[in-house]
Amino acid sequence: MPHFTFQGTPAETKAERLADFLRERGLDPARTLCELNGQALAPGADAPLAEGDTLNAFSIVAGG
Amino acid sequence: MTPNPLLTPQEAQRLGAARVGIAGAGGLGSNIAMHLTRAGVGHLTVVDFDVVSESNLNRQFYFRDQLGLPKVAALCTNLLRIAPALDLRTHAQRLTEANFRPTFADCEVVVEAFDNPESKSAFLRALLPTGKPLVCASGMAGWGHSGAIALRRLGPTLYLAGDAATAASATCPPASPRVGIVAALQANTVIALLLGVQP
Repeated sequence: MPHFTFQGTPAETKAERLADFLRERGLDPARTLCELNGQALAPGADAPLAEGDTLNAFSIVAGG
Repeated sequence: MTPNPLLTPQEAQRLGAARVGIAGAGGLGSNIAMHLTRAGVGHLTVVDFDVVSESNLNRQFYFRDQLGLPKVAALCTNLLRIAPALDLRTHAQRLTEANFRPTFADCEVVVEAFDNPESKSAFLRALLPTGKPLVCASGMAGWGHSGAIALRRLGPTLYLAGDAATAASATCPPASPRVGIVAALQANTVIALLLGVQP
């Protein structure tokens, strides 16, 4: 069970992949922009989650 | 020639030589284009398939006598009134993941200015791997909560403006002030990137 930092606070999850973690948090991976360990990931991108990762996630919502 | 007499010669040269891409010419894109033109950016590439409609006039940089015109044509008219020497390349077409890269290939910075989340996501999937500086937006509908709007840097080349939460809907429509704040924030970020100062 990876322990990592999510949105600046400690978190843990049973999910082993980013997309599964986002779903666990009620976020749609296809509409979520993530920054994993300082690298931006486009919506829909997946990646393994590992101990000590730093993850930030931002919803892509309608409007403009 | 720049419409902005407050620039130093070096700043005027830098902005005047730059080409910035803008994907979408609605509430965000039309106002971003206006800001960049007033700031002295010399070359813009703007893409939008839509026409000006009544519902656009509450926040977009168009006028009642432009209803029914392609947005890129109306925007061209309006921007050239500000800066007659502006080099404005417009495309009245729908952007897809297949044509993002060639459309903006010669742009130094590309701005995402769509209103629907599918297009915003497609933009990121197509252009994030290029490493080109990108300035995107998410979350600007409604009123108030100005302090929730922020600029975030994600990785080395991506900037996200907005509150990343407040979606436009029938009960929370996009309105000029908040959309305008985000558009100005995006334009300010582009100028900072071009001038090499902290966005």
